[in-house]
Amino acid sequence: MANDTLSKLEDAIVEMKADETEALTKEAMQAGVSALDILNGGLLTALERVGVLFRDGDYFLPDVLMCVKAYKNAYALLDSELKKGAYKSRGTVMLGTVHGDIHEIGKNILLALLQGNGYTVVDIGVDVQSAVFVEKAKEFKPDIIGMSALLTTSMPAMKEVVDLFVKDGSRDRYKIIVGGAPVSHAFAKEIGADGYGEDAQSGVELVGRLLAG
Amino acid sequence: MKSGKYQVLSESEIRTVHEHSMRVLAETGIRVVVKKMRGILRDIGCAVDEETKIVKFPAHVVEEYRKKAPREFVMCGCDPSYERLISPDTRVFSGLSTAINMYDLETGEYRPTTLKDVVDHIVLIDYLENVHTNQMDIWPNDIPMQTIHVETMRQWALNCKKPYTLGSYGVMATKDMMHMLSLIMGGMDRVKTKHPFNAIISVQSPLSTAHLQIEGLMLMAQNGQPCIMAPEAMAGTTAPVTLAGLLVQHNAEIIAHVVMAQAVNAGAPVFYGTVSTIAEMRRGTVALGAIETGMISAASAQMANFYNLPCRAVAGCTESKTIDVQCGTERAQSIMLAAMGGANYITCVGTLESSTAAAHELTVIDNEIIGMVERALRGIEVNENSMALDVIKNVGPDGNYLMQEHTQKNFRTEHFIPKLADREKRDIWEKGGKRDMAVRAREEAKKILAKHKQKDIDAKLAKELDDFVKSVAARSLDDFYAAEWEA
Repeated sequence: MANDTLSKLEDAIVEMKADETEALTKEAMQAGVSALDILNGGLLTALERVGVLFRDGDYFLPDVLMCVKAYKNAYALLDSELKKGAYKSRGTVMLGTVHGDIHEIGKNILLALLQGNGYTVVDIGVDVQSAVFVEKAKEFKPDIIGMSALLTTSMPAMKEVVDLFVKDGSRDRYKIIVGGAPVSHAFAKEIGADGYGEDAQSGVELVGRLLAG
Repeated sequence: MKSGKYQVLSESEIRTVHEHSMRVLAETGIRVVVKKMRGILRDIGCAVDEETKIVKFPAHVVEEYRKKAPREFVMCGCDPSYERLISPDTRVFSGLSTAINMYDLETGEYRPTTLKDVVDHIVLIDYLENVHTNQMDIWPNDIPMQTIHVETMRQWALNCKKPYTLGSYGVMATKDMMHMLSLIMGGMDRVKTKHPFNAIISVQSPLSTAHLQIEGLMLMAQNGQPCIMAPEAMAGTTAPVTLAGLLVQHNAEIIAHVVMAQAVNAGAPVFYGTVSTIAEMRRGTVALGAIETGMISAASAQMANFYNLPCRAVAGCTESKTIDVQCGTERAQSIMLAAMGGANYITCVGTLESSTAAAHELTVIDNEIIGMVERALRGIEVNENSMALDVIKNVGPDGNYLMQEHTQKNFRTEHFIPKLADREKRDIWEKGGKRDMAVRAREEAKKILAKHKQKDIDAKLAKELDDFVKSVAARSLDDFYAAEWEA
């Protein structure tokens, strides 16, 4: 019975049924399944399937984002329980679009995908002054800081942020990653960032690699 | 359709071309090289000169008989539940024949085509969603010539659910085809209202006929099976150099063939067909990839529409010898023009080098081109859902639509999603091995072929087909010649 509910929950996430996942999660909790078991046996298994569908080209971004929405509806019910127990977030990622740039679609996609992969994400918004990256990092203590830019004119701001962390003496406390249409591997290396993701999915993989290593 | 059709003739020009064609048929006539056919035409009121074999068609005879052809009919596959309506208002896409060489899918080597290539092509078309009917598009050089028609039909029955088309190879071969059809479909009464099989009747321009083709036409019509009347007139060699002159002549040729089929069996399904184009004026060869092919196809669709007949047009052709930019532009523009011109049965898949060579990767690429063309012709749907007023309000200034349910619910139908075109960032493309479209198409073709399994057909039918193919193989070519009707 409980297993049946978990597999229904898993299917509901994969099939983007955001309005069903809350009820199914409650049903599982009432049946006595622990929050951790719901997470591992329904939510994360669903996201794995979504990942495969995306990689194989069957699912597109709007599908994945709807799956994440369905996932979040379920996760919201588990969050407080999980925090009481042994469960730990896979890590904290702070995301922002650099000064001079107000584009946030790429950043928001990465944000949703990271949340959908069990990370805690802090969004510090768009057109963020370089110094604010340093301030907010002190406040939220992220493992990883991600910077986004769409305009070529805002790329120098990415270098400015990295330089400010160096000047502040806190550069080694964080991994810094960059992404966005004009950015490349070569640019990331040149400004002294720790990594670069070509798109949101590779951004998620990059975060996983950096936290593992 | 509110998206504008590509029209090259005005209403009055269509009528004028028609009237001029009628004068050609009445005053110059058509050489009909089968005596039996001339007899039938004499009986319906044509003027026949037995010495020259020229048949002149009075306008009232043409009017009476061309009107007996049905406006629409249904084609089905050897799986009868696979159905496509053929009419002046519908559109299907098909293979294109006949390649005698091809680029090997594995090695890239240019070599003579084989029966395996025929089978692989049948399989690919069966899987490709935008290609609706199969044809004997590839000539199997490695089997005896007198078995080609039956062997390819057997392979069709074993590997495909869609309809099939062959050329016309004279009396004995056409009778064989009807016998194969009967075996495969379980009796000729099963193909009376839905037609899984179709024959191309090549017209000999200018103003003549080919012996084997007329025999095929007569037998197909007798059996009530569809024929495509298809001249490949070339402006400058086998037709006047002017496109209007070509239209007058090829229209006369097509209508004469339609009349012949109706005189044999009133109501037999026919296509108003065209493979006509311009000649290459440096050498007098064909230029199927020319932009004029699309213009002639569009004009032919308008003429067919005038006669209330479905139009078959050639497209997707190129004179290019390799999978290059010429190959891509010529095939795409001609498919687009044929479809926008209103052609109803567009043969356009998988060839190059004036359709004498094939490449499986092109079959897969053409499937994608057709998908794009179909999307363009579907136009823009305007309704409350598609205008998305609520979503616009909800997202507001500076928002984005990617995470909206409306986006997820509609993107698959609103956008054409290519399987082969590359839209990745350079980094991702480089990581993936810098593959171009032809490489990706080759991989897709291999993937399809690898997962295909031959159909599980009834053992009795398998044996009947096998026995019949063997009996045909035991004949000599002289047997075929002996069966021909008097010229």
